[in-house]
Amino acid sequence: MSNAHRDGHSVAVYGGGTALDDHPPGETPGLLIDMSGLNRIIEHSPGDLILVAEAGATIADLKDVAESGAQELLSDFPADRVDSGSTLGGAIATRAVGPRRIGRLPLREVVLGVTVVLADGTIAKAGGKVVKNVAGYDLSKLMTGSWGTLGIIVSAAIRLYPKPETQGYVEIPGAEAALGVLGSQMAPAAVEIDRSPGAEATTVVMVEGLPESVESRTRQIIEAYPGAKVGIEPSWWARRAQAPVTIRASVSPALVPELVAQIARLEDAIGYPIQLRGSAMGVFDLGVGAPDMDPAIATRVVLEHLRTWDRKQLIATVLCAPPAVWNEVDAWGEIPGFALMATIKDQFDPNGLLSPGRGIGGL
Amino acid sequence: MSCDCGGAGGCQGGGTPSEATGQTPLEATMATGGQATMEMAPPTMDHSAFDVFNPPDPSLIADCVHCGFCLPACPTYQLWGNEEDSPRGRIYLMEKGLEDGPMSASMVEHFDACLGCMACVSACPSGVQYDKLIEATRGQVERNGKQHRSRGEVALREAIFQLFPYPDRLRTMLAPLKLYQRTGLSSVIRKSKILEKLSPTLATMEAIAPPVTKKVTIPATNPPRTAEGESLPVRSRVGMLLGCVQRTFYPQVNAATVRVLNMEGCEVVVPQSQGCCGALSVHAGRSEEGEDFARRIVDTFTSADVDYLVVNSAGCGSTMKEYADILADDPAYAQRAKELADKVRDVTEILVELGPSAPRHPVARGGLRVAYHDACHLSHAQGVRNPPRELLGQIPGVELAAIKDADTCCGSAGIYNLVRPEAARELGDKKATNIAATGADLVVTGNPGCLLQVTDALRRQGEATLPSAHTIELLDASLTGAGAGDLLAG
Amino acid sequence: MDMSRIESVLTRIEPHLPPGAIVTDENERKTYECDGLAVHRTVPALVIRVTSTAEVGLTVRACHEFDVPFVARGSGTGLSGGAQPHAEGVLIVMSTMRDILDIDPAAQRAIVQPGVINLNLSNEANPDGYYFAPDPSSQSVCSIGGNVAENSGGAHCLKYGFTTNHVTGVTLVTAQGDIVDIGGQAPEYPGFDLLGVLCGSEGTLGIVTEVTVRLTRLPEAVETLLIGFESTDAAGEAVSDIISAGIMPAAIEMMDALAIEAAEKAVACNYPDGAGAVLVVELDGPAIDVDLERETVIARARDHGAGEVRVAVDDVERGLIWKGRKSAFAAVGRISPDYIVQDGVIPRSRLGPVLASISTIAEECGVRVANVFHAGDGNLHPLVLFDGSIEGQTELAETASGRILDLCLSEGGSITGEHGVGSDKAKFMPRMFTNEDLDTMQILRCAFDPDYLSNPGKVFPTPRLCGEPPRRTSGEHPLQAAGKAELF
Repeated sequence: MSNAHRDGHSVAVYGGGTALDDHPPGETPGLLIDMSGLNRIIEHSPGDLILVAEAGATIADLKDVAESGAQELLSDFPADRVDSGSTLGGAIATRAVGPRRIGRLPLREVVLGVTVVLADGTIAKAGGKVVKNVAGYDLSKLMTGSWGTLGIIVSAAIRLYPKPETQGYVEIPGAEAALGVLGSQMAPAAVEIDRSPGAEATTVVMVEGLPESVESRTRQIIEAYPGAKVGIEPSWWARRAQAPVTIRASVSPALVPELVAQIARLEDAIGYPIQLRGSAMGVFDLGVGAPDMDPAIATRVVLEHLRTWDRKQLIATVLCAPPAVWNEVDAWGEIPGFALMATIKDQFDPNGLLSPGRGIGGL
Repeated sequence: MSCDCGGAGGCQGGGTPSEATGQTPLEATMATGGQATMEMAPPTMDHSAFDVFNPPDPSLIADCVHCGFCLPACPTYQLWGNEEDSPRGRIYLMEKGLEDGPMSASMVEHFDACLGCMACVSACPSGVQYDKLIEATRGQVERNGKQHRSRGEVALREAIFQLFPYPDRLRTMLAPLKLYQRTGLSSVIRKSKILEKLSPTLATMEAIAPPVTKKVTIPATNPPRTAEGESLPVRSRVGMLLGCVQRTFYPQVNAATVRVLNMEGCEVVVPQSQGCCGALSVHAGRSEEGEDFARRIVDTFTSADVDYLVVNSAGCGSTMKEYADILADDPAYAQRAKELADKVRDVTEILVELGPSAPRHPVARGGLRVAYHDACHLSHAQGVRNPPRELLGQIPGVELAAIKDADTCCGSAGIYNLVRPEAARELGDKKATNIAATGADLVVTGNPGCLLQVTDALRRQGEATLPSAHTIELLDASLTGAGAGDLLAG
Repeated sequence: MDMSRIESVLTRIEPHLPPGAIVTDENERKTYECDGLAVHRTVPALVIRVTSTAEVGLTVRACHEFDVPFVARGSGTGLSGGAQPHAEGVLIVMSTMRDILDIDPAAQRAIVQPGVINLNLSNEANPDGYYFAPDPSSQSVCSIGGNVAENSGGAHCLKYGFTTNHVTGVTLVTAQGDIVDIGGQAPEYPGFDLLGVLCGSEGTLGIVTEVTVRLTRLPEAVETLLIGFESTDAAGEAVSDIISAGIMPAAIEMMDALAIEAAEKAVACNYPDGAGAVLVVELDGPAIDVDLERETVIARARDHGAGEVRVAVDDVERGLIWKGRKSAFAAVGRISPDYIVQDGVIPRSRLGPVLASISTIAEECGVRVANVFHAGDGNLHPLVLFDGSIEGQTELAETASGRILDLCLSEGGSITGEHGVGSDKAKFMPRMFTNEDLDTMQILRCAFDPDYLSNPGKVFPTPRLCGEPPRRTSGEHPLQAAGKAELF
């Protein structure tokens, strides 16, 4: 990185290459850094529930390490990404999260500390390896979800969790029940909603823990909602729906059923398939279009519609799209605090060397 | 008034020794047994806002670790959210005053704004004795800070203390007040500034006071007897304080107290010549005045030779339990004051201590939902929280309702609702809202000041239909079998 | 002291503020000179009590215009001097800005002004079945704004996370006086994690004037246990065992004998007589889980020689068990005239050896140390007891404190788990981070506050000149020369 800085080469970072299609392709970098060789486990302490590893270690490998201590990673990661070789650094930089996010702490709380290399080659660490730490600014949170545009993550400390004995699934037709389950005292680990184009939505609740507890809670949920029945892990669980364009929409939980209904109506109105899949806590992926259709116009329409909502209630950005589409739609809209983000990027990377154009808003 | 040695301080703040007597002013003052009067102008300590008479004790101030747990308990912090009007802030001002005088207008403002409710004492994990600190500080403000009060307020306070501690004068005010209120004389008199402040509250007091014509005599001796009038063996011989506001505006409460004590086997002795216990004066920092009243009470009740001294007013009971401290510096009274103070009990305390003996009858068909309001000087100052609840719980059919924010003052706070009417009104309104929210049929409390304040606040909110009474009145209704009908009729 | 700039600020803002918002009286200003850490005191030149975002913006803009530093203060209960004023600056008091603007149970959100007291928010949300999860021991008085500034934790943060985890949006007044909305009610917002950075920034990146918080559903069941042990070692091992049994309690707190003594004197919590240590364990969640977990906790505790095991039967008893723990800091004021409270963190598995080392340090320095801590996450609160009126004791106490922090660092821990760095621990930052680390963090500061006006002098011992690359500084730093900073 020091050399690149000296010579003015822009840099891109390659972990497992599982998120290459997400976010705009950005400028062609002068240098590509392959992190896969930086994959050692630095420290594993089951008693302290922490795991420290280099950024190139794969999530799959880390899961195995955690298992050896009868534990698992505290954050859930998307299964399709993990299967394709997602690395620790990549998962953190792209803020990749799986379905078990209702009962679990979010990824930013799971990452206890990072060591990063800055645009000019400085090696700096932020945070540490203990669960409680408020010394200084929380740069590991800044790096989480920064898409490699503020620094290169070279190692991270993450939290572990006692592995639950068993899981139970409940399938409920429709999306209205999701709100009730979220607000219940059943402490679900995940509440996912999936709606295929032209079809009814389905809510799938997952509870985990001791067998007696799982059995009791699944029964209580089934009794509470008409049409609910015992289920199994759906084939789409923790996997992204395939579509030319994916829009990431984040919405206030109270408005989730409304969003689902509106997407269905929009689909009818524009005659384009829109897949909806995500967590009832209010984070959804909307897959727009089918393989043989040009998704640009439909994407534009969906984005415009979603942006009629108050930004404080719902925000929508493009997550994944064919290269041409990025230029044809307003992928980002108005991002709250963007001016501050631009200033931060400017301070950390004045010469614009780190993954230029890969970041949000084209940063 | 500071000495003019320029801070050399060799006298340790007692002043320069007099050439004639060889005594420092401090020594001279102390030699009079603490009987200094205003004319002697006590010397201030060097560079301090306070004089040498009982300044706030630095060792008590040092107990404060600045944690802030007192802030949410303090009514003025709840109202305004200002550090200066919190116990922590006031202690800070005391500390500043000790280091660096003179007493400023801001100090006086914030000391005066304190209700003296002592909720902070209950809340403080470090055990800071804020009650002792504020009492000492109030005396200091009286002696060294009055120039910062408005002329109107100074006159108002004087008027209050010419009136309230003297039951005879209070009684003579009743009739003209009635006249003044009902004939519209009030609008004429309102032009005068002092009465403007006096009148709203006095009008309230008049409006809720029982008819003057109803004379209630309480004899000097009252032997124990059943509800039917049959004689009972004496379990204890107790004295009773008549109070000032109590005997004037709520004589039926005193009557009920005597009856209940009688029915529980107590011989009740009520010295007819008794005066004021001095609570209002002590709480307002008028220390000498309070001490004088205390001495008279000690004289009156010592000769009465009683096992206990029963009080049905929280403010009075709290001060009387402090008589040992108040008269500690007076060798002629110190011992007797301590002996008497040890005998003081709130009426609910003594009834629980003796244990119930008279049968309790239901007070209302279908039961009664009762809200009990903790008077600050009973709960925070005396720590008496359970006895009244226990007694009310012994009445068949009574369901006790808990009042939200029970630990927060109603705003009566001695003379506070007269000198700080806006703040007192806000606190009264909150208390009334919380009481009304319990859905109770009746609210009872153990202090006449609270009773006045709460009744007035309920009336202002249109909750006049929610009757109020003294705790002992409901107990009386149960023991006599008369039922709560009269109390509920308002 | 040059008061002309303060006077300029005053002239600029006075016409737009209500009476009573401006505090110039010397005695009144003095009451604001410190927060919960009374050892660091500075009287502010001017105090402004605000009630709206507009007033904050106006005041900060004026400060920016005349190059006057400003410090924000909530309830003043912080334990690191974060709200310690600047002698030539403005103290902006937020405790008067304390309305709960909205509670929306369906959305699991509330919108509050920063002066709202933490516990009051939970109490207001309770009737709808919700509460605000971060629960510092001072929650009956500390403010949400303060919680955001310090990223407060509390006993339940082991399971529920810190304040960051419960904030989805803020309104920020930047150090230039601009008003920016960040986030909102949706759970995730695109871009850099500005909220993650603002929480815990200790007022150095601007002033938050409105907070959208995430409310948590009240659990179906709560069990609080008080367990007595012969020693802290035994208690510590029981904790390890409980966690390796797969239980994630809502809270596990430990107190040693000295701390128990103090709490007993203060609040008469009736903790087990003669115990060398107590654990307060709280389990919450679905009733069936809590039942199963309780049995496991008791069994594991007994494996390590637990004496008395008390399970709270109602809210009153539960409150009393917690009262002992939550009053512990102030309670030691009853067994010692003075004390320093530390906030170090160590890996939990090292609890036993670290406590033993602390004992040794205490002996060597001739001071007593009472220990209260979050056993679940290794956050220690050693209370170093001393008598400041005895010559030399204060220095000994400070030496002991410093050695305890070094001990935490040598174990790979942190100098502060939840109280923040403030002014109190800024000098320890170089022991935990290299110059490069500190400089890198300060790049962030340059993005938010290049003029170094927002709570200057806190967190970092040496300010960084914006625009310079991270490097070792030598010679007098320009900000030192300008009188804005002090080198430790």
